[in-house]
Amino acid sequence: MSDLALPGAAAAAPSWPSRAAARLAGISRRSPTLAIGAAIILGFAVLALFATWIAPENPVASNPARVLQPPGPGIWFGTDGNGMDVLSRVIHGSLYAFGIAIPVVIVALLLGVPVGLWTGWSGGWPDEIVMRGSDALRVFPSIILALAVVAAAGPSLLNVVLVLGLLDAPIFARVVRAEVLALRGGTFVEAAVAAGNPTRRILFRHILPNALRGAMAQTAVRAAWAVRISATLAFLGVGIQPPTPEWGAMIRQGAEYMVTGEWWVAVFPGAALILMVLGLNMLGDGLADLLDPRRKAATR
Amino acid sequence: MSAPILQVTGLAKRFPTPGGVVNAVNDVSFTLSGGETLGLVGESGSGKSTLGRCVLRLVAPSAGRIVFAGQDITTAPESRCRALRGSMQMVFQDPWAALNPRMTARDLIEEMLLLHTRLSRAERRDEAERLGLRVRLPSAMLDRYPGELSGGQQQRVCIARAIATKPALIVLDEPTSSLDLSVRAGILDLLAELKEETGAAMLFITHDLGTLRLMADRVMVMYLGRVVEQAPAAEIYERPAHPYTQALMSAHLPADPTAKLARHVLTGEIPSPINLPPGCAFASRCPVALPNCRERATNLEAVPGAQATHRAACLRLADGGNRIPG
Amino acid sequence: MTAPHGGDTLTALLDVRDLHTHFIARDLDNKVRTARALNGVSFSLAPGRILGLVGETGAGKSLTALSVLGLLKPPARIVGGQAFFEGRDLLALPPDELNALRGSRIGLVVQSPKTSLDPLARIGAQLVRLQRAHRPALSAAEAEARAVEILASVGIPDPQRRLRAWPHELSGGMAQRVLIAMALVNEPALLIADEPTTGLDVTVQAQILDLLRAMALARGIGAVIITHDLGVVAHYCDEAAVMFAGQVVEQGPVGPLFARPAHPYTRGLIAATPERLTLRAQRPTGSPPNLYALPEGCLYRDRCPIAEARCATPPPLVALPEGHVASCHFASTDAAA
Repeated sequence: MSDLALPGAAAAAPSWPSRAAARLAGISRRSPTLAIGAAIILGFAVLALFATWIAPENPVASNPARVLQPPGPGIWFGTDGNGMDVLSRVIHGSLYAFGIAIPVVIVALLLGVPVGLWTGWSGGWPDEIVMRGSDALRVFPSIILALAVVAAAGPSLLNVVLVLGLLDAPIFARVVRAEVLALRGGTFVEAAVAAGNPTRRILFRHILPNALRGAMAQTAVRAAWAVRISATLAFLGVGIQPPTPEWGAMIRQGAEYMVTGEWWVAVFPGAALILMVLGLNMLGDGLADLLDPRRKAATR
Repeated sequence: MSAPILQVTGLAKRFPTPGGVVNAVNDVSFTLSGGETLGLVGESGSGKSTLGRCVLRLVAPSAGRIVFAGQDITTAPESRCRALRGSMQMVFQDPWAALNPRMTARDLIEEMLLLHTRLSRAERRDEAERLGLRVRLPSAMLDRYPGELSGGQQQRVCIARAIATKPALIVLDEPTSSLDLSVRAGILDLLAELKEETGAAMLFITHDLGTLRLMADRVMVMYLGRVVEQAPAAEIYERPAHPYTQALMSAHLPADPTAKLARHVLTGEIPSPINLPPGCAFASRCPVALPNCRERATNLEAVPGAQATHRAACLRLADGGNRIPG
Repeated sequence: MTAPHGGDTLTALLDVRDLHTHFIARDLDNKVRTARALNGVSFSLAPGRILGLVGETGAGKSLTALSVLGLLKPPARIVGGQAFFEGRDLLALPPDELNALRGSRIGLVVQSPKTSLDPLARIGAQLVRLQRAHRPALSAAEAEARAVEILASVGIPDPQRRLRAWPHELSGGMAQRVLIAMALVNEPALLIADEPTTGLDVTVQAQILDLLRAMALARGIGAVIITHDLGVVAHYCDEAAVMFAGQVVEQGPVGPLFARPAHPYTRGLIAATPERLTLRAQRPTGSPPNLYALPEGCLYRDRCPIAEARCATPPPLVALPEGHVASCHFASTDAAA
């Protein structure tokens, strides 16, 4: 029996940095969207991780001596109504954006994936109940629902994460359920039954690893949603409270000054927010292209 | 021949559909002994795959009785079926679809040992290696994922899985239909060796009478959920009694332009298995059908002048008009 | 294999010469990788003859048809060769001229009839549309009359009523008949049928093949039937071209080709058919060659039971009696033996 044709199997092995560079170039060629999105998010990640060192000042140090200074040398993004440095606050804000987005997606995955797995496999009434329930959740604009729950539960970071995670779980449940439904009637699941696998093993060893692709492709887009919604909550005053350097809260503060001409207080955090949401969406789109061959073919 | 490992009596499977009840399998009875290979032939919609799955209790039968190794498993709960799955196995038509793409060949083979034996991790590893060699998959291949194997290699993994627990019964559902000719030959070689070696009873499902000639001891022909003929393999190729069997055989095209074809080209296609007529299901396409074929139900009866085990369900056996002239 | 098979552009209806099609794409490591799928396909077809293009999965049968018809999608690309049809090189034609030929002078019957019919149009409408696309002057009434005629000729009962049928109302066999009618409605000179009976039941297969052959013979058109089934070739084709790894390794009239197969691959293939097969015999094993790294010389030599050192050089195209050719170093010595 001769060896099977395996792409890349016989290639010589150059040093890893050049291989990594080639792989990067290959990926960006296949999906420029993915490359740009990844670059943006990587930039924000660096800002978030090293905020303390990158930011020129303490983001919550007020300075009554220089309130509402326009951008200029030394204070590139100007200062806000408390005299805090807007640049430092925007940089630290990225930490909060990730601090909300990542836990929200994790909570949503932890809730949504098992539910999707279970409803997709069992079908029947559990499926009906859960799916109708998630439909009901989706009928309301999520922002109103989030607003109501966070207002009732209290505006802490933990509450925001839990509520947004719960609201987002149905999306993952649906994606996973659809994959499970498609796999359930498939031959390899039948083969797993014929092999004598207990249901638990069929679900977690055979179905789950094959059903996660769609959910994984969704994560970046859902993170963008979480960033957007949490900023909206903060903007409306029910999320994270000032003076915490969170972008939504900063935009809310800055909005008051827009009419009087001190635009920089709101515009810089707004731009950061837009850029990050855009980056996450591009990353998500690119991931979906790469992970989902059907989509790739369709977009060719 | 040893005691039957499988006894199927009056087996039926009906699927309710919006358009009516589909009679996928209708009153099928047969027995299968250890070391014996029963060929099950039919076209799409004949119910041959459903029958194979009923026998393994992958599909619950609607009526009838299945006795496997002395135990009635017709209505056995899933937990009991699961325990029995080590001794009754299946090989599927499309190996690419039958293997979990996220497990290596080694994991897939070891899974059977994990589920049905008490072997230690190291013992399982050795045994998987041995099984791999048995189906001629070198151990380097075992660390590959199904997507990195060719169709023939994938089917070898499926076969290694099926024999891992030394089953008493193996159902093979078109095991070579999706494979190329030259690959198919190697798989048939392997199955013939295993048949002798393991002494397992085999139910070999196919639409290809040519393949069965090599593998089967007995042949059972199905049309629209019913067995229309069953006979020892040598006998059925020599003297097919049912008009459908004759037509099926004549439809086979040998790879020899000089071979004379006994062409009994049938008109029409297989009718819908919903609301079957009371009489012979083949009557609507049968070239030798009489008017009452459509009304009178047929049963398997001994074919006059043939071996006692050669039975066919045709009203015209009695007057000898079952042979298609040509 | 650079020399064309014995064909002659003046008498052949279709003459494919040294066709090379590659899949060229960059992988995730940004390296350009080329799969050499067709490596010099040459065959010719005379008018009124039926050629069986036979081979196993991945041999390039369908890709040959797609290349000739200009239906390749990236990353597949024709990198060399010619395909003369009625004296014109199809591979050099501008897309709109090729488009005008497809469906009129060249009819195509594909493998899956169910997915090849427009599910949103009635059978009659599709037949009328197809005729008027190539002959705008035709009136709707004329086109419809012709549609009834062609449906009747492919054995569809009650064709007048069937014009009103939707594709989903047809059985597999009926859908394949309709597709054959569509391929023939504009009176083509060449018919290409890609696995026309795969997926149909064996008792229906014979009906469809009988029909295809009868229609081709009655109209005097040339047909290429792409199949993996040697039985179909033996009984429904006049000529056979055997493909392996993107090359035609042997071509000839079916009589001599089946009686005296000159290429070891053809011999192995015939020996593996169910009626010739003896179990547990010595037989060539192994996978098709790696299209990304094809060896020099004969592409079959890794699997070939009679390969020798000289097989590392490209095999010659050996002309055998009765218009039978094979590309193998041993073809002539075997024929003499």
